[in-house]
Amino acid sequence: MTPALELDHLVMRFGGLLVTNDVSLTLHPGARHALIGPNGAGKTTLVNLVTGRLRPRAGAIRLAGQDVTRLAPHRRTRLGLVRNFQVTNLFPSFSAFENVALAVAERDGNGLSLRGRRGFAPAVADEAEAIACDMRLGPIGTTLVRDLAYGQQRLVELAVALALRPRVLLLDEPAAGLPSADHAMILDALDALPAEVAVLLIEHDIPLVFRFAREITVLAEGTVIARGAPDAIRQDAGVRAAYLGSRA
Amino acid sequence: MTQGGFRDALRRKHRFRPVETLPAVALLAVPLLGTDYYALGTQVAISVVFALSLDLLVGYAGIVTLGHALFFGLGAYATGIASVHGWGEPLSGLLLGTAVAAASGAVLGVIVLRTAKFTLLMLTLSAVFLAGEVANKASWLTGGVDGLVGVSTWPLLGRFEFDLFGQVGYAYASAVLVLVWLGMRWLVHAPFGQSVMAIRDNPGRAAAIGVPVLARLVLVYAVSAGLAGLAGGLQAEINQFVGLKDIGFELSATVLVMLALGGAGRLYGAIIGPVAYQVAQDLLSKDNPVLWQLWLGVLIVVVVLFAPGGILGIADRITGKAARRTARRMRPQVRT
Amino acid sequence: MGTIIDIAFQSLAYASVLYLISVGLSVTLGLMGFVNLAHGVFAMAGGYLAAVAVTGAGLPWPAMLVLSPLLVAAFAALLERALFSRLYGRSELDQVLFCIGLIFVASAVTRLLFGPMLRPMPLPPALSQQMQLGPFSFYAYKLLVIGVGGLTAAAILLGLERTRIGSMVRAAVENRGMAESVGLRTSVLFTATFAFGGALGALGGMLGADLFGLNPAYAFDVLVYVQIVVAVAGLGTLRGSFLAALLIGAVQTLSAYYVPALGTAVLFLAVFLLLLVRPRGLFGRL
Repeated sequence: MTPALELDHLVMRFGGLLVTNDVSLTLHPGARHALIGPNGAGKTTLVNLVTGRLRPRAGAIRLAGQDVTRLAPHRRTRLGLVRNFQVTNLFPSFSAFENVALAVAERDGNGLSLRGRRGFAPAVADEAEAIACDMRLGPIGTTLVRDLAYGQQRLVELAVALALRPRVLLLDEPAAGLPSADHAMILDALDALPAEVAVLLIEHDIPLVFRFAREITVLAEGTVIARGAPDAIRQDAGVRAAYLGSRA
Repeated sequence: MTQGGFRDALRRKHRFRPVETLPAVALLAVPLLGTDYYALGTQVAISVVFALSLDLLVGYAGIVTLGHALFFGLGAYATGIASVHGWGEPLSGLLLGTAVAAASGAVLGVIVLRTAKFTLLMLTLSAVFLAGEVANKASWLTGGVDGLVGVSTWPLLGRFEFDLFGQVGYAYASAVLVLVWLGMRWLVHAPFGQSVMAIRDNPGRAAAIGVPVLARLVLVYAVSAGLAGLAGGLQAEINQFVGLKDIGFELSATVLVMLALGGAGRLYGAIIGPVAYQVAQDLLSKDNPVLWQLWLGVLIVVVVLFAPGGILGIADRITGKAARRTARRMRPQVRT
Repeated sequence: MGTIIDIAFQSLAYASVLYLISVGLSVTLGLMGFVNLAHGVFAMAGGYLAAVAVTGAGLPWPAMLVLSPLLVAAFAALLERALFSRLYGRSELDQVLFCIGLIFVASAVTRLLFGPMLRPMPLPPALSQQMQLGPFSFYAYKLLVIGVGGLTAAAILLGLERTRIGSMVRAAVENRGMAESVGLRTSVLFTATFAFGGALGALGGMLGADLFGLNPAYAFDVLVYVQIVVAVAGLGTLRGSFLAALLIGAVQTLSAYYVPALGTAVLFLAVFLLLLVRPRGLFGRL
């Protein structure tokens, strides 16, 4: 089976600082993989390498077997690599439905279309609405995103990501800034993700990670220090020292 | 909300409102005022076309530029020079001006749109200076400081001679304005327009949903430049003169001010703005350009400080507050 | 050989003026994220103030070298408190429009008060003569301009490196949002740096009167060049603008010397090409 996403010996340096040290990672379709690590472990850099904001010094990134190492971010999105953002990052002057519809239109390559005098073609509008309603955004769908509560905005983020029909979904702290009482809402949404999507979750919140992931990779100082099932990671002494220990 | 609610919302948001026919009504009303107003009406119509082109850039794509007169001037000179060299057919002349400006817009766009904010501002400013300098030095082509003389426009459609009262000129400019306005309205309400506004809202996010941001902005820049060139060509044909003023910074600033007076990002601001500008100029200082500059400066400062969003912004706040109050009363709580 | 020395000398004088005026713009841009296109107004105010005081009130020119910047600094501080401070954080369009408005007002007022003509700036006789230095002769005034520019640049660079407040300002310019985290009282800092930038602008405007020609469009004439300096240097660098000013001064002087027919076109083209290759300027990090 071709892996959905393959990071092949990635290396990244800023000046003399090695921030990504020979990182390899394979995600098969349907993976529920979490990437954890203490602050400064290089998680954000890795996200930026995968999404194409940064170019690695060495190594390759493959998406469903295709080398995308030198592709611009929007081209990767078109190939099915979709990300959400740590900080809510939407189109504030559009409604929740419209945010999703923009993604749907762009996914189908209709961003240049001049057909449709009502913003979006009816089929696009219907699909966007259906996706948003699956996320229980129906009641607030026509509200401008900037007027939504923070938790609702996080859900819109997920709906936008889903609308792009991802092959690989990169979730950068989807619960960031939410009180833990609201984590259930996010987890419900994550559980409802299509089974065949490969998900890479980058998260600080350990309970959320252990609840969601089937495999965990631990990054410290740019290097992979452990990888395995959640139970194995929980027992790993090195991880405790580098990560869990440093929090206690 | 049940399925289909989004379609309803879109229908409401994008529907054609009766108010939107007002500009056309105003255009029809000018001839009733008598022949004296043709010249003024024509000038305002040209300014509106120019301001509409800028609105696409500033209001919809979120690109603030100080160099838009570059494209106005290019269009004007292209049309005018063609006419001086023996081709004065108005429609094809207009097309030429549009094409030249649009092509320059595409080339310049590739360069300046890779930068942002301050640098972009500086580059657009430099571009208009450079163009003005070139137009000044290349006097064998442009007439330099004296301007391009000898422009003569053939009868419109081969039948309507441009008359001394400016009746044909006014009709011509009005027709072009209505076409541009309808085209712009179509553009910004189409999926294309939505994606451009999405880029304005959040370029990084736009790229993350797969929008080729730079390519799309370059396209918008070229379209906007083309429309500015169209306005320039129109002016060259009707006034039968092109001067260095038509490619200068001052015109760039003026059109930006006109747009801001009306309110950017909503088409009708670009229509109201130039009208308001003309009215204000008439009221405040008819024949004294220095005094007008002073008043205009004060007016801009006051608008920015106390009425951001211009005239339509004020109208919004008056009607919007009342509407929102009733809406809130009717729909108790939407928070989950 | 003489030509090279002469060009270098002219370039340095030009660069000194550009540097003085551009410092204020870089600081407000870096510190407050505010594109102060109206910065040239301070240069114009400095220039006119000096010209009027010398011809009208008979004050000595050297005295105005100190007085003019002081007065303009007070004026700038007042403007910042009353107007500019309301614009921080507003949309780029609002900021740009506001500055255009200010330039219009300044230019109209100047024209109403002093007329549209070039305003002469009478210099003390000691300055308006040629000075002999070895085999070369220099225009004394330009020597002074270079001296003032060089000293100011040195003082600023040293001040930024060596003093506490200087290093804070530098840190804040290079990394916006930083000022608040180190507990600087930002509103006071903003006003102070604005006034400081205004003072330097006034000094540059006064010294540059000879170069750009004092007229009601002065604020705008100066702005274009100063903006180029800041863009070429890149945002978020204070040391870069010194080198950028030198570069622009050299290009401008060279093109005026060898291809005068092309006017300023050479400079604009060069800047375009540079920013095409390096959209963030020579030293920019932002």
